[in-house]
Amino acid sequence: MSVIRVQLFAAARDLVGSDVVEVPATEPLTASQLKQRLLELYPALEPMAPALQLAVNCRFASGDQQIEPQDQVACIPPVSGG
Amino acid sequence: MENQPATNYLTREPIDPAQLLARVQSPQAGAVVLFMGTVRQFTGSRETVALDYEAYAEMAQQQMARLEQQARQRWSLVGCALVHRLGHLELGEASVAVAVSAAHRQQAFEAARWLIDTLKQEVPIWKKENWADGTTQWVHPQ
Repeated sequence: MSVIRVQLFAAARDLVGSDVVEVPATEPLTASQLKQRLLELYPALEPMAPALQLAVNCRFASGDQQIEPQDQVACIPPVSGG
Repeated sequence: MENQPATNYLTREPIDPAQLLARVQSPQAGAVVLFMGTVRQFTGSRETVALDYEAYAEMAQQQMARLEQQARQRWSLVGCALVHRLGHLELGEASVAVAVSAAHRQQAFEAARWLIDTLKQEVPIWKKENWADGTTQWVHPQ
């Protein structure tokens, strides 16, 4: 069993109460599967779920993108720079 | 060029527009456009006293570098400089600046507009409102 570390930012981090979480993965996951797993583990994220995107290795990930064990993963709430 | 350090697109210091303009001004350019986003006091009837900005810095740097590359491919630019400030900003301070230069103004205006619009959609930076009533709130546009 491996774990995928997911970095959290802004309101997503505040809702979870941590800036990084570990999601257990018994099998390879796609980005959308990982997001679903994250929401199951941290239901506090549910209100912003539709708007949450995942980034893999500093690029926005498509839902069917496969997560590799060494990937750098982050959960990105809607951005508001500028 | 390859010996130059990677551009730093993020800063915790006040943005100096003169320094940004100096980076893009050139005898090859006939037009320079500077855009600055600044901290506004009122959003509708709600009053802001300050903003706090944070970034997923590693990705924000890469996304901003990609935006610069895309702008340089799409328009014939002489110079292009982007910077976003992080940390605590008071009213009126600049949070972001885009400076571009080109031979003619149309290219410079279009590129600057595209850069700030796309930055606001694709760069992982977030602002937190410090409202006048003492509450705070992350801004997450839906």
